[in-house]
Amino acid sequence: MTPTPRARAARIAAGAVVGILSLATALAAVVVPLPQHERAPLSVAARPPAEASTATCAGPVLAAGRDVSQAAQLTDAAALRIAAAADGSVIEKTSLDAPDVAGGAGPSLVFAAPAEGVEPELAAAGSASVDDDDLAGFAASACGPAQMESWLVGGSGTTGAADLVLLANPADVPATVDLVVFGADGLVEPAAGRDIVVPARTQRVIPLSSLALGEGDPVVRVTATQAPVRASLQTSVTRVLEPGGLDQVAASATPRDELVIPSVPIALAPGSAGDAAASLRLLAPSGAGAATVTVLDGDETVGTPQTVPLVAGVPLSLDLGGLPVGRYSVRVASTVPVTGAVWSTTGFDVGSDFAWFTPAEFLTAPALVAIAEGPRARLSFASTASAPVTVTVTALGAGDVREVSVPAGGGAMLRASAGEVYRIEAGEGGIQASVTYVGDGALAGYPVAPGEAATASIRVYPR
Amino acid sequence: MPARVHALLVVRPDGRAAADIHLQRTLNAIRAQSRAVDVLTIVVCGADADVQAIVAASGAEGVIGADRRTGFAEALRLASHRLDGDAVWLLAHDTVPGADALRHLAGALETAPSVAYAAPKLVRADEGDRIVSLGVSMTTYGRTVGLADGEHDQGQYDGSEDVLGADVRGILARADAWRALDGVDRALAGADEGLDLGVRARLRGGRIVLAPGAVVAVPAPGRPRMRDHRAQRTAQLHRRLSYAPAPAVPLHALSLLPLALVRSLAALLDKQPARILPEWGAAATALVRPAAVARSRRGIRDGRVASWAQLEPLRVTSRELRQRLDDEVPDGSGRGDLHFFTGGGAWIVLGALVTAILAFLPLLAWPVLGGGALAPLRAGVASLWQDAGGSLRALGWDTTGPADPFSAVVAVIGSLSPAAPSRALVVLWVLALPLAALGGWFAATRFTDRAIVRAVVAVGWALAPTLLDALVSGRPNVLIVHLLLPWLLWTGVVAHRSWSAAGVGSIVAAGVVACAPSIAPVLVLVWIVGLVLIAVRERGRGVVRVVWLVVPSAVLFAPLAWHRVRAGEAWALLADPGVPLRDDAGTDLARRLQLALGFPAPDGWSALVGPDVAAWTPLLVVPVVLLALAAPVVGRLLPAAVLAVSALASLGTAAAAIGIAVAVDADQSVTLWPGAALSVFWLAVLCAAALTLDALPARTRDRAPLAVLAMAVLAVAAVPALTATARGTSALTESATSTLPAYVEAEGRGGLSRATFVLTPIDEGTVVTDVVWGETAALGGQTTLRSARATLDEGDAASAQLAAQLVADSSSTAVSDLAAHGVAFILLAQEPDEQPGAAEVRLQAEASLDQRDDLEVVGSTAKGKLWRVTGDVGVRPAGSDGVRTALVQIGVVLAALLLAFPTRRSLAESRRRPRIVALPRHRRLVRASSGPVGGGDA
Repeated sequence: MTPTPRARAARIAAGAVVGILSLATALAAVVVPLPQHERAPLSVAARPPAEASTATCAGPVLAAGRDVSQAAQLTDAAALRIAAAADGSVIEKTSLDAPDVAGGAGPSLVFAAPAEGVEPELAAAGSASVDDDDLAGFAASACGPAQMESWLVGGSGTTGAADLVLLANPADVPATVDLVVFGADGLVEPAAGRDIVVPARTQRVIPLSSLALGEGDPVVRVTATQAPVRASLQTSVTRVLEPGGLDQVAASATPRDELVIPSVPIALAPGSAGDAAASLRLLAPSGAGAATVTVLDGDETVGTPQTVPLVAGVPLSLDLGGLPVGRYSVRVASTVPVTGAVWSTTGFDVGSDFAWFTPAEFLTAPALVAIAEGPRARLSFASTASAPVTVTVTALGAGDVREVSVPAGGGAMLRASAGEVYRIEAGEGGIQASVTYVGDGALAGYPVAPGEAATASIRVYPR
Repeated sequence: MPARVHALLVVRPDGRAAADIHLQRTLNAIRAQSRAVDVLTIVVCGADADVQAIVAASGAEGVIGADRRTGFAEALRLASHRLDGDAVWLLAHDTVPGADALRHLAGALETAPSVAYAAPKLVRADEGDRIVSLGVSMTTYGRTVGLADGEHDQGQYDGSEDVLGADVRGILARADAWRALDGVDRALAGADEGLDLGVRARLRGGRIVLAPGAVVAVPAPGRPRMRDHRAQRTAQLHRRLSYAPAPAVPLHALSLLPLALVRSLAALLDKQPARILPEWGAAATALVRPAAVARSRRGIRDGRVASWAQLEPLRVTSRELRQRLDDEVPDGSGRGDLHFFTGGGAWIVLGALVTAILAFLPLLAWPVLGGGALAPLRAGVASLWQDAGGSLRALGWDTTGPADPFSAVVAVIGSLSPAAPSRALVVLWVLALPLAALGGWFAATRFTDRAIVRAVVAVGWALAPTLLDALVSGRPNVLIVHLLLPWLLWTGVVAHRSWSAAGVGSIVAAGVVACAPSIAPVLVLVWIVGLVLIAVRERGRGVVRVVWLVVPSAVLFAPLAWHRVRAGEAWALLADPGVPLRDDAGTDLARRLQLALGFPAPDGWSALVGPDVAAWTPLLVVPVVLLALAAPVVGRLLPAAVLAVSALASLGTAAAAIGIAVAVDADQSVTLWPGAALSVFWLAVLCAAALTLDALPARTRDRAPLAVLAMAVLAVAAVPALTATARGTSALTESATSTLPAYVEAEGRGGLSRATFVLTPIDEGTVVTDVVWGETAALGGQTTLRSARATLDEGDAASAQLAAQLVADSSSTAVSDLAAHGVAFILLAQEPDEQPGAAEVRLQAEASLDQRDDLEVVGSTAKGKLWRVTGDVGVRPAGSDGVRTALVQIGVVLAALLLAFPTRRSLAESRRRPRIVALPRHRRLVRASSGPVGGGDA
């Protein structure tokens, strides 16, 4: 039974219709976007039980070789004057041992016990002025919590530098610290930096020259095990037997894609000396990429943003010379995580001072900042938000409240009273802030760290 | 000659058609008897007006009205009260006696006074020379055996006389014997009534004789229905209890239910599941009627003169029985030989095996596969099945609920290699290509018998983009789906005509859905299309078998579905089981176009030829897709249309799947993987291409070149995947036997009562916590109750709080809380590419854990740093066991397996049908007589 021609034609037509419909439907199914169903990851913000808030300071300014018979011996050159306060709790102070310093008083440990089960907000900062034959300048740094991993950006291992890595362990158990140096040859693990034991409640001092001798732009990674440490760097320079400045630099930010240094004072007019008055040191520890550096005066960009290539593990130094005297904010946007800091100086002759300015962290919750004693202290803000941010600044001591409007993507500045502690509330938008000092032969600054409330909460994804 | 014959005519319309016509015919036949009936009594059971009119006009001496549900035996008893005569003739409204019937019967009754009744020859009303019944006997165990049922009447039985019994219809019984026996036993439920009457008469010394000259036409026996099965079994059990020696009666009663179970299993094995319900119904009836048994036994005991031994010669011996049951199924020639070896199928499988060994050479030395969504299997068969059952899940703080059916699939695979279950997965990986080729080849036999076309499907299935992607990216569930799908097709398309196919298909379907619940909607759609086709084309025959296809899947998923629906998380049922693995390929147009060509992910050419060329390489498979698109025009329309519906539904599922996220893996949401849906799509495409190639006209000589082209382009498209392992770009890695350090594995092998708390820092201030019960996070221990949960539960909150304490605080009671819950170890894991922020958290946590005095450092391992809890560790409380659910599931799977198990009879029956489905009638004969045709067009 063979189908008739008519039946055959009808059958082929039906087949063609099915085929064409199939093709059309298939194309429609892939071309037309289908509705989507999302499921957000599940997480819990868990907060460990309240403990005492602690802040470890960098300690007295140290001087080396004052005893002629012992060139390597360290002694205290000047004590830190500490400004500290806690929100809703009483602060207490104690000192850590400093066995590496002959007769050293040791760094201060500021702590505040929890009140009503809440970890108190605590802020402390210290400053010192030295004007000796071998060491002169002004140093200021914030005291802060100890960390398992810290990055020290600053200092130098070249002749004339007498830089010291300060490792303070405020905990009751000893810590073992490894120091590795990122230099011109990439990552180096010097023998002197391996397995440094920092006993409980003790500060150890390691000369940077023993880790990075001859290294012009070193970045040191501090990794602690068993207990966290507070790492900082004391850096000073001597030019032809004359002291050329001094600073204490606390640990810089962990590498990330965006760095903001809210305020970098330029105290030396362009053209008045041969070298650049400021430079940016930048390190991409894990991968190569490119970074764009923007300098802003208020909310206006100064010059054109510079884009620089980054080599993995090799720090670069970028001149920021040619800026008029003033305070600028420096921003770095990178394709790979970077850390860095800006160096600035008041001059290159006797009686001048320099300082390192490290990036500030994003403040989304209220944060406290202590203003150490020093000349012309300023509180600077920088915003990366697309809308203006209103920042409320409350002086804990004087009790006065001020409001500052920070323009979108710009900066703002406030006069701050030395010795005072301020609470900074920026609202949802978030803000970066820092404290800077510019005086006659005095230059220093430190960023405002987020409060305990912002750091203590841990986001847990139960799988 | 008996002086008076009293005919009892029982009219039971009982919904059957044309009762009035039948009755009229019977009455006419009675009136036309050469030896007239003396008295006629009609018992009318619930008749309609037409019947009533005929009865009124019949001139019967007595008419008795009765309820519609009155049985034949009961109706006779009503009429026996007025028994008036020396013999009683039992007739029903649809038994039409021949004109000489009564004369012959009366003659037979007259031969001796011991004859209790004489039985006529029952023949089919529509086919007068086909015997319906002529004498009934039984076996030693009491089974009823018709002596001449269904045989052609060639006079071969006309000489026989003495029998044990006969069909009750049309018999002429001596009135005194009838009274003594108290008529037909009403407890028999309508079956074996004549046999029982005969047995009882013989025990009283009576005889039963046949009167083959008396012919009574009865309706043709239809296919036995469930009520017929039930009546037969009820009668058989009742007779057993009535005939047995008194001491044996309780034993028989006790054996009823076990016997019902055994006979149910046998019914499944015999592919006759319709006999199961009647079996249990009959057993229950027999159990609840001790009074009826006692009455029947009393009736036998009273007036008994003969012994059972005297009945022995009249029983059917087992040898006679075997002779009679021989060749019940006629030999069929619905299909030619399979030609697996001569048709090249074996060579393709062998070639695929060689390819697989070359492509996955390093795997042969690996004990455990890792990478992708792979994980080790548990070390023992018992723990494999523990993961698949019970209510305690092996992951999560305190996750309770039913296991994913996928765990059972994993357990089955692992059980194939009991000493090292993980090895089974390695072997599966290496054998995947040849197994896929084998499956594809057999699936093709449903559409074509040309060797070259089958080869295209086999090669196309072994080199399917989804299979290659699953092999290279390590997705075990997609791999298993891909290997099972051709067998689902092979059995599913013939499920309507064979219980064996339905049984196999139902198990394969359960495996497929267990591995990829997201394709269940597609399979259900195809199933509904199949049901409609059967309703239309087969007039509903075999619909129960097709319905059965989904039963095991439904039963296996029922506990999980119930759990999910009750929690309001029905979406989560779609989640891919196993280790959640993120889909990185996006949802843009390029991706969706790749889906339409069968590629679930980029095909891997970009690593070989660069991204610019690789954007076009998926187009390599276009010839196959074009062949498929031609199928509705060139090939047979109905299969092509069904394949088109399947392909479109699965393509739509795949396109939708990539945008549907129902699972999360820590901080990432995980969308459904389109691989399984694309496997269905690819199967439909290949089969459609096979239809086209099969139907190409013989004179065009295009078939072989087109087939070779299709295979060639697929081979080229497969190059990146097949070389991925050699180039080191596949996600597969050699893994240890545990995801946890060896110390935990050694300690935890005992069971799932101790847990390891795993902390994995992933970013600044961010950790992932895992609670792993037992020695490893096993593949079978994965649960969508965790990966696809919509909200955080109390356990999540507790473990998060403890994690925060462990990371940040060394003085809390976190460890003792963990120990009380059953956590014996804490592992601080390090991600392979750790973020700097994560390193900070990890170091902080390490310091915090090191400072604890209730933890003891075990050491740093490749999987992270491990601590042991030094205090007393609690034991996880046992969950509800869910034995009843498991028993139901096991029962259904066992039923499917019994149905699937081939018997001689089922194989013979399947040989009578063509192998190819939906073949037009005019081609069946041609195909059956000619063997498969090779690549040419001979």
